[in-house]
Parts: sequence; structure tokens; C-alpha cells
Amino acid sequence: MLVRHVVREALVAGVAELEGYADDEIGEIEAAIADCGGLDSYELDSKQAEWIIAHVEHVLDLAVPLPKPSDLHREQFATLQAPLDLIVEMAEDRSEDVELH
Amino acid sequence: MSSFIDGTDIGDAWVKAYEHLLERPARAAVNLAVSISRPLEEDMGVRAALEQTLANWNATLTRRWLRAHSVHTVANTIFPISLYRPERPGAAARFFDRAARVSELHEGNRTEWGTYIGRLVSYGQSGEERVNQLEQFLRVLGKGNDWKDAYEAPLTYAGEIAGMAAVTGDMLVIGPGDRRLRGGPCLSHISLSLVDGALHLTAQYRRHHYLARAYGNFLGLARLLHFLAQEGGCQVGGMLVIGTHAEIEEGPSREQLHELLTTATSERGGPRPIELSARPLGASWNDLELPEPRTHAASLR
Repeated sequence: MLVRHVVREALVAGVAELEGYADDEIGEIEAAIADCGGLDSYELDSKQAEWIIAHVEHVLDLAVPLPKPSDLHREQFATLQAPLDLIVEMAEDRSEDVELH
Repeated sequence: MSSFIDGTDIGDAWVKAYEHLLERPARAAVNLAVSISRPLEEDMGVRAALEQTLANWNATLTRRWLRAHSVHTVANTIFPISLYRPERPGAAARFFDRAARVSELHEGNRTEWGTYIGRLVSYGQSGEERVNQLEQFLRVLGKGNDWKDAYEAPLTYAGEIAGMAAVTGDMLVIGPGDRRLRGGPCLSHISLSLVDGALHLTAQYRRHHYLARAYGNFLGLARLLHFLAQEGGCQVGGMLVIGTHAEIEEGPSREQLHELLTTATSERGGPRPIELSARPLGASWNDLELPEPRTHAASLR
């Protein structure tokens, strides 16, 4: 079963990698998230969301593919909180499939 | 018969081309050439009028109207600015990597042919060696900016997409070994010329839709031109977009189409710089979506 904090960590690391920040600069991403009011205020463009969700799927080595933003409603990927909730919800609904390898 | 539209910024060019098409029989033209002399500027009043109208039509039109997306979403298919952050080291290489990865997500599905940016940074069909056409452009540009006409990028493949459902039934593409009906891609070729230190772009659409696509296409091409000029160390020149078959799509009534022209013209607010790269970390992107439809009767006429 996926743990929420593991998914959160992977999402934030995904933002850092997408934006060209090194591992030791993740604090700058966390600061930006805090500055704008948290994960549910940190907005994503659809292309950013596509890359970050695919990145999380890859680094967590999920057994089933995550949906693409083109398969989702805007509100399901509009902020960092949205894909976090979606992935964790998928894990709870399909705990036998969506898990860390 | 061909037509030439001489526009300054993106909004000005779109309004003039749209007005020209409105006056044409069947609201269509062959070989419509639209020049944009200052492609890094647009008119937000025109863009807002167009997007509000598209949102209204999405909510109310049911026959022969394909749901439209925002100008930003259309522009993203050519150059997704959110993946380009030039203030960080290695911006071009990172953009190529991110754009190629995102584009892969749109390949392999029978209903998806990929994206334009995907074909620019990873050109080639399944099983073939992929070519990054933009990286090749930058390599040539880096040789001292003395090559004037060495930059050509195809966006189509010969004989591609067997069995893909045609979006519209009257598009027949006849290329080498190709006799199949198909939908996208409509942007078939990009050509760049470097003259007196300025990079100029010409794009050819085999079919160009002026309601749902053209403004976003102009914007995406302008962002692409800026990227190549910025990373290639040259100035941004002009842009020419040719629709070998340009048209205003079916769906809205004649009255609605003319009302859009009236609104877009009256809302013109003058040119302003276009966005060229990712917004600051934590910035909002929501303003780039289509607005909520205005549902009261007067605004939906």
C-alpha cells in the first residue's frame, strides 16, 4: 500500500527535477510550496502535470499506469494536492495493484 | 486564388485573417498566407474575446462543433512554455528531455498521433531512430550564424497512421506511398531562415481552423521561434503562416460568427509581450484555461 508521505516526497522531487533543481535544492521547492499556501495552492500547467505524474509512476515503479492529465478533469491535476490525492485514492481502491515494488 | 494578410502582432493578424475568411464563399480559402511582423506581441483583448466565445459555444453548440480548448492549450502542442525555464542551467537540454517524455505519453494510441513538439524533438516513427530537429537547428545556428536557409522541419511521415479514424472525412493526404485518409497533424512543415542576424519562421498548415486553432497556433509558433533565437544567439524575425486550406469551422451561425468579429475588434487593447517561458515557482496557471461560459441569453446569441 502506498503511503501518503512517500507519494508527496516523489511529487516534490518530481517538481524539482522538472524545474532543473538538484537534490540538495529541494528546499527551494518546499519553500515555494509553503509560500503559495501549500500543496493545494501550488498550481500545475497540464504539461507539468503530465511530466510529474509520469515521473512519479516511474520512480515509485507502480504496477499499474497512472492516468494522464488528458484522461482527467482539470481539477484532478490542477494543483500538486490533486495528483497526490488521486494516487493515494487509487492505492486504497486497488491496493493489490497500486503498490511499491 | 491565394490571399495575403499583413498583421503586426498575433491578435491583429488573427482578426484580419478571420475577417477575410468570413467574407469568403464557404468561409474558406486556399493558400491563405498570414504575416506577423512582431510575433512576440499579442492583443489580450482579442484573445479574451475569442476564448469567451469559444467557452460559450462549448456550452451551447451541439451540432458539428468540436469542443474547443484554450489558446494556451493549443499553443502548448507546439511549444509548452511550462517546460522551459531559461534561468536554470541546461535549459535547452532539459526542455528537450521533458518535451520528448511528455510527447511519448501521446503516442501509441490509435486515437492519438502525438504532438507537434514531439515531432520536433523526437521525429521518427516507432522502430526508427529518432531525430531531435530543434537540437539540429541549434547545432547549425551555433556554427557562426552564417547559414541562411539550412533549417527545415517536417511534421508528417510518409504513409503514417494506418487505421486511425479520420477526424474529418475530406482530408486526403497523398505522399510517397500514402493513400490513406487521416486526421491530424495539420501543421505539416516548418522552415526557418536566418537573415542579417534575425531568425524568421514560415509554417505550412495543410488545413487550418481559424476558430479553435489559429490563434493558439500563432502563439505556439512564436514561442518556438523565440526559443530557437534565444538558445541560438540570434534575434527574432518575422513569421509567415500559410494555410493551404484555411477555414472557419462549422457549428456557429453566421450571426454568431460576425458577432465574434465585432467583439474581438471592439475589445482590442493594443499589443503586449507574449509569455515565453515557465512562470515563477508557485505561480498560478489557471488564468490560461478557458473562462466559464456566460450563460445568460444575451451573451450567448
